[in-house]
Amino acid sequence: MKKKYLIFIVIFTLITLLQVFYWLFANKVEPIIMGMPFAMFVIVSLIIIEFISLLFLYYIDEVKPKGKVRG
Amino acid sequence: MDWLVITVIIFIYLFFVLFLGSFASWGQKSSVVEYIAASRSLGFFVMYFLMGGAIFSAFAFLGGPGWAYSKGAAAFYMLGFSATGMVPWWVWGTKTHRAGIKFGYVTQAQLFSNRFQSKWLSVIMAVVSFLAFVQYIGLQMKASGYIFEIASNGRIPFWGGALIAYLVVLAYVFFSGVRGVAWTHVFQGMFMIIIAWSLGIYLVFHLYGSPTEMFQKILEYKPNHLLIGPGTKMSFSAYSSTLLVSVLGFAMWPQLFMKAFTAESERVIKKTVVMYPTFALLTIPTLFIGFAGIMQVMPQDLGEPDRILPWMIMNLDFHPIVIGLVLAGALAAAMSTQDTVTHAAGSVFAQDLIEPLKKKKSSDKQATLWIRLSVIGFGAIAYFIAIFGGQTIVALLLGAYGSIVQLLPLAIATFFWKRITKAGAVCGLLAGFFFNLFVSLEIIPKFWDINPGIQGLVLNFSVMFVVSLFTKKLPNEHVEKFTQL
Repeated sequence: MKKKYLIFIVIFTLITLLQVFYWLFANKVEPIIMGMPFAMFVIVSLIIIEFISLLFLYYIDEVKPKGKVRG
Repeated sequence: MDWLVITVIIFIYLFFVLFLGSFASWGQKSSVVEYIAASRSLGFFVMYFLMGGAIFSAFAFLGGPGWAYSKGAAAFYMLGFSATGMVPWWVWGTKTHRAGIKFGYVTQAQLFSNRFQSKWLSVIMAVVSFLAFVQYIGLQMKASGYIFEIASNGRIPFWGGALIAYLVVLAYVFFSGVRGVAWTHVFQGMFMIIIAWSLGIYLVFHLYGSPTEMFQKILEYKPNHLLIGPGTKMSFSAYSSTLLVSVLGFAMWPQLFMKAFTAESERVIKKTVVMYPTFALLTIPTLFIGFAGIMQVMPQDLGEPDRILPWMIMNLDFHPIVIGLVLAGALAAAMSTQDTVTHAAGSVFAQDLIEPLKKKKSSDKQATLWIRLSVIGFGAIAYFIAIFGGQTIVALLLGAYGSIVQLLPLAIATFFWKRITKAGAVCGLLAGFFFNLFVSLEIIPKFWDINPGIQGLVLNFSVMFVVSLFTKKLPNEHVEKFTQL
């Protein structure tokens, strides 16, 4: 349980810090990728990574060791 | 006659929402738990839109394009906070849900005041929440006023438009409580998403050929517009601290926090958190609308930047039916936040302020009546403040976030920090709240360009910790009921 929370805290903190300080590594307009300035593309990519991480967390949280699902 | 077609479409939308909201609780028993927490029965689909409606507000629909138009890259912060703001709810939401079932809570202040054994904490929280709610709802009411004013070509005055939309909100919140709010959000959420994407994509392709060409032209026209930092509209420290206060404060808003009591299970809360970043992606086209407006209208001709979306659709030869639908979408965004906030304000006022101060506990029927009356009272106060207020939309919201984020130390202490005492909790909250308030009112200076909410939060944690060291601990047995949830 504690390990799960630790994973959750580390992932969330990392993604939040990257969003908060994106200007340290992505405060640029070019290249324009997928119709978005580079900075916006990086922020959107972080959101997608966050979404996938949360899906993974939900999966490991739902599946108990014996394969039972929590209600 | 175009204005008539546009106005009629907006009224059709209003009637539909009024009907849907007012009959949502048909057949349900009238009680406090039903009115505030929908008898703890909402499933994932409704919860997703119920929480999403709170973020997809006038702030996203009008403030977002306004920021993209006037401040450029500073608007990216909206994407960041709407994606990450709900994640802490994985912890707060599930623990709060368990506490609600175990102890029968329906509001955030009931949880915190019981944990710290202080009815005054409940009263202070109610006052803090109430002040923040007034600031926050003011933003949404101003948006409703703009929409009607523009739709009717000035025939419906600003105050009248705000009043019409708010009366509809008050009606269904009064009759149906959170169930009415939830079902209108499902409709409004889907409607807003369709409108925002259709308009955002259409405008960019129609005016510039593609998003890439649009951003290249903006780069030539205003080289610094898509950057933050020195020489732009937002400094690095302002961007980071504003985003941080929004992320930390988002799930602390009482109207969101208390929705943990409405979910039918913890699984519903977790699914809502998992899916919430998709709402952030849905706000992207609203920013595109603002960027698309940069080379269409000069700031001096537009007036307030928040008017960019209505200006674009009124000046680019759209059919009146399309204009009506877009304005109805913007109105949906404003109303979907007004209803949540109004419902929460009524609940907080009656349950967290009136109830603890009464000598005799109200019956369930009396308590429900108090909440309904509080909804009307809050509505009247908020309306007058909003209409006579003078700040722009986003400035209003940021002031409110600074107050609400001060509840974060209480949430952490409730579930994880055994040593925090009643005096520590109360003193910390007051220190953080007043610091933010005094900086916002310019009574004391702001340090550097850091958001006053973050500075208040540091003070809040420090005061809470130091005061707790020198005051009496709460009984271990009582504290463990919360830390072991």
